Amino acid sequence: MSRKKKQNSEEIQELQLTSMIDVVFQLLVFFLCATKFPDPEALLKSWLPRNQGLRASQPTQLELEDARLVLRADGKDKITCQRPDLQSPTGFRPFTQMVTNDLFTNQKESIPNWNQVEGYLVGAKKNFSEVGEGTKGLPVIIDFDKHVKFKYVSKVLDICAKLNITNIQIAAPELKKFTEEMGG
Amino acid sequence: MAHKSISHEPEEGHVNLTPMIDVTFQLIIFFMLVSELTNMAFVPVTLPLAPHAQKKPQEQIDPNSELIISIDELDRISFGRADIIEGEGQELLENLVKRLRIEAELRDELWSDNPEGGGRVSELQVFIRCDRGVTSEKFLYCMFACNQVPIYKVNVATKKKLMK
Repeated sequence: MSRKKKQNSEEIQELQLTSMIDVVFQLLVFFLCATKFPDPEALLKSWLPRNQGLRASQPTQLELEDARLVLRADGKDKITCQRPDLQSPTGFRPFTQMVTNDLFTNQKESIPNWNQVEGYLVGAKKNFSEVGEGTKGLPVIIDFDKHVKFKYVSKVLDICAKLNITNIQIAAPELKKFTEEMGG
Repeated sequence: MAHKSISHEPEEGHVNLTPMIDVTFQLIIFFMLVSELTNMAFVPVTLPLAPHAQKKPQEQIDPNSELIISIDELDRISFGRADIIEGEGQELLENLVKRLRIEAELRDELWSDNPEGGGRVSELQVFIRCDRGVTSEKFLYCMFACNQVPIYKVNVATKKKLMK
């Protein structure tokens, strides 16, 4: 009897780890599948002009020393972009349109030829440099209405960032008119 | 002699699982923390692509001096994750300005005299995370509100490349 007892006490005490490892692996697989890493974000600087306040979107007189891009939504999937042109009866000349598929939704959309927009800004920047006025560089005024999707506004901002244009102003409608239109 | 030969029988092999369990637990802790961080992020929005945007310099910006406003796909403006600014039109604008003033006042040290004259300005940096698919109406509201506080450092959050 005493011999048997001694044998039992000499047996190595082992923890049964198998079930714990199973659970741990289940957890690991769950977190591996469920974890979504946040996408890295970038930024487009758009410092608001100091002391200039809010100005009407349509100035009475076209100023040729700045570059102006007028974005308008024409239906759900069409966006137009125009630039000032004094020879045109409307005062503006549109960039040519192109049809493309949206990268995210794959829906067809009619958008301005962004290469032309970039070319216009490159030309304006070059001319502005020759005149050499001011120290902030070419002022670019982006005039968009509330129906223009934000992705197009950011596209224009991106083109400005590409060309190292930092003097960007956003032409907004008059505040009172804007809020009244929005049902305030 | 026979007793000796029995003792030389090969013992049952045991795999030492301890290091594997250690590593597995480390992995679990890592994923638990990362998942939590992701959940605590701001309102999920599909940011517009802008390959030429600057990388957000996280190490340079003091979290206390920045404020993030999100405009989600349902066209709602929110601070943080679920703090939605209610209202439409003039009411929405007033609520936005009120909230921005509170945020700016909380960071008292960021107020400075405008070097170009005209009162004091807040040096608070506002990041607008606007969904690419919504119209720019609410974005304009945010710009109006920042202008009224006045906060002039407004950034537009984008993605540098398409991540699927």
